Amino acid sequence: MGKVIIIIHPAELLRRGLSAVLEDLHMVRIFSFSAFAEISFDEFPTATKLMLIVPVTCKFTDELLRLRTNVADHELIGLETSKNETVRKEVFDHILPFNVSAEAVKKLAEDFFEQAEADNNDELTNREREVLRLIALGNTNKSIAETLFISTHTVISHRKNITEKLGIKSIPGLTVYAIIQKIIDPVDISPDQLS
Amino acid sequence: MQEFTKDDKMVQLVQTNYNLLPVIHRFGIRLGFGNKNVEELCRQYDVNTDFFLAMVNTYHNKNFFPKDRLLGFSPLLIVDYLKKTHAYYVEYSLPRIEKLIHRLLESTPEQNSEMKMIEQFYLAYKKKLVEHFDEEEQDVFPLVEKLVLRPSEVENKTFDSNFEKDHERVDFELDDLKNLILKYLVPEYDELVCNRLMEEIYRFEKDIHDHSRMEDAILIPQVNQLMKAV
Repeated sequence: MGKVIIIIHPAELLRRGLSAVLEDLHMVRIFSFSAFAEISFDEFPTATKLMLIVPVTCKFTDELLRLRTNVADHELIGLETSKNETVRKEVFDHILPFNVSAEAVKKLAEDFFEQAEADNNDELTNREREVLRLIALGNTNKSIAETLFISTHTVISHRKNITEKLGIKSIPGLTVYAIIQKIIDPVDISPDQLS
Repeated sequence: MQEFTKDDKMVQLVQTNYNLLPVIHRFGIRLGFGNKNVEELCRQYDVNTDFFLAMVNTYHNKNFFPKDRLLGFSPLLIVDYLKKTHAYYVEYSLPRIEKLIHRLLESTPEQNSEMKMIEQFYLAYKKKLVEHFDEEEQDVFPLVEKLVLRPSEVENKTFDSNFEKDHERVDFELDDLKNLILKYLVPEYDELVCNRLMEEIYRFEKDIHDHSRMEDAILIPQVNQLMKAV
């Protein structure tokens, strides 16, 4: 679980400077690398929110795509290092001009990471409670969809929201939560629901 | 972050990071270090110094993972180390967490029978984890030993591992355990027991993360490589 910034830039001073500007952000871990090849991907399996800062001239390699697909909630920031660099602007969520102020960089990151805090309400909606109840009773996505007359796609999206709100990912974990919150009665679950 | 070298005094390693003590013990190296350095003590205990340093450094610093160097070690060394970590988990970490969870739940008021679910969740988790260890010890580790020592005896030329998936699940459920306790425990409980439990869970989490990474990123690629060579 966590908020992560990854800075990839060949210039060490620039990496250090950016890290220093961003280091006060609350609960955000910063990693910086000179190149994609330096990254050990095993280190970022649990990032929930990712800001990736790369040069605007950066090539779209497999590694970059992998980083992005691993974390659904991410922003890709392009960093200009000189005037008039030709870039494909549309691929970036934001472009930082070469003369950007430290304040503006910090603001950008704050806005991105705090957005999560704002919707960090862990109250489940009625629909989500219903989906959670059915999960805890051992139903598959397909049977939940049939019971509630919704598409499996919608079920998956509810599950994702439930997991994000509660911070609980596994089915056994969700089952225990449902029991603690009295959404289901322990006698209703099968003994192997926790395994 | 610093990287320990063979010339560092062993006692400095523990003074820098006391969590390294169990790792050092796993290698059979005992206290009474005196002022001996890593190389001297490794020689004394017949431990491969480079391998020892690689394990200690990857454990100490999560950004340190010299994949190429690690892939260069004999799979037998890695298997031996992994077996010892399994034993440590099974004999020490897991029972200790179990005991602390039980004591924590005993310290909550009686009407909170729901809290027993957390204990059940942990027991189910532990059971799956031990089954996973057994599977590795019965299927994977002997296969590795055979591939290295007696490759001609290897019959099944395919190796299909779901371990990465298993490891991911292990991570998730440990995370869930922490969240269930931290976010949803009732406010009446013994705080000292709780502190110790959480400390133990976090330490175990770090340890097993390191362990899984060694299996996924080093041992499994080595097995696949050896398979191709057979």
